[in-house]
Amino acid sequence: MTSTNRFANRLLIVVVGIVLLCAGLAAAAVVLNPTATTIWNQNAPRIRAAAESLLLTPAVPGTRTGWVLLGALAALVILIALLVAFIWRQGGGRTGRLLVRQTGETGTTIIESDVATGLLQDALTDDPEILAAHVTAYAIKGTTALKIAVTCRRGASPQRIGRTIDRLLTALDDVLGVDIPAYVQISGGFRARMTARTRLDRRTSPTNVIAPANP
Amino acid sequence: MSAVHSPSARMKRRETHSPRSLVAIVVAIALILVFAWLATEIVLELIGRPPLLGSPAEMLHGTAALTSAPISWVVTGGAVLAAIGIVLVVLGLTPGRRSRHVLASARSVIVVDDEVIASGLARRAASAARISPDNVRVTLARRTVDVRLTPTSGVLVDRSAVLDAVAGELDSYDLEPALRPPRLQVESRGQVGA
Repeated sequence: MTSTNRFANRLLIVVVGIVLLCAGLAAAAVVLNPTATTIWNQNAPRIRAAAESLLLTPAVPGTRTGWVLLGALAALVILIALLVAFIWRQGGGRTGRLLVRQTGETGTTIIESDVATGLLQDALTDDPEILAAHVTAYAIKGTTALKIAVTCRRGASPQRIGRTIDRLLTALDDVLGVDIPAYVQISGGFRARMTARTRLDRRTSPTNVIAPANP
Repeated sequence: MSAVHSPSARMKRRETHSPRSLVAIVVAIALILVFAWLATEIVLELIGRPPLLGSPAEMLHGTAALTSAPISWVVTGGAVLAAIGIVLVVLGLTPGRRSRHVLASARSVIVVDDEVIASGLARRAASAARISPDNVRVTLARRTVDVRLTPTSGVLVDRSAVLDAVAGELDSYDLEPALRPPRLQVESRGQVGA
């Protein structure tokens, strides 16, 4: 649902991984393989001297400033900025606008996400097998979609809960006049929670025990 | 209705696989630290101050002197780098499938955690075997369902009834990727009075 660029994540991971792998293997190979060691010993001093003169030759005689070093510094700063932006962009995409529609020439209709969020959350928490419901709107690929995260009771049939949610969504479609793409996530968190399969309904008599119906 | 379906395949794929956000963030932070240190060394060199760990000239010297360093250090260091590299490549290339399945729906994309599916099947198995749901353990993998139950001592379990009940429940869910028919294992030791 989020705007996380998964491809970029994996690309970064794989590229850095390959660089580390090659650097590590190369370093070990140079020291362990006699031929490689000889080649290294012959060429390294020359390359080092060339690199040193390239980096440290001052642009203006008398100062310490070298153009290449400054360029390297600028590149590093840009890379750091890009990486920070990369981290920042993980997991965003929420929106407060559900629907924007041009209604003829008279004006625009804007429906806030809170409309759908409120309607759905209220209706869902009424269901005895749904312990918690969290509805948010995300902007994806030019349209807005609803994410409905539901935590259900242990032993509940996910199919029944799915049907219930679909019915509510269809009713919402009728209210809004348009179909909103929806993503439903049904989770349980059973290992963490200690809630019983049956519950006491405090709205009626304290001794009234409501158990999920046996299918 | 078609507007609901076009983003749905993408949604299904995204929500059933890991985004690798955590790994990517850790890698990005590590890179930021390394780049920030390099930038600091360059700045210190430019303003003529002593370096933190090594000035650019010293770093070049150190790299060129790779063959003069103790071999065990270089090999260990290289092996560690290579190992981290392999782990990263594997993490980046493997799909990272989450333990979830997609429930068939015409209206929306429904993704269910495997433990919810398992507990729904367990309740069904328990009622078919006439035992407490606490004595049923259902394990779900990508394509397989394993049901293990501990019967009440002295009460026979109707294996085919249990399998039919669980298979029927599973079919009604209509999951993707499709699961093979469930396998049942009844413990040889019963639970007294459950």
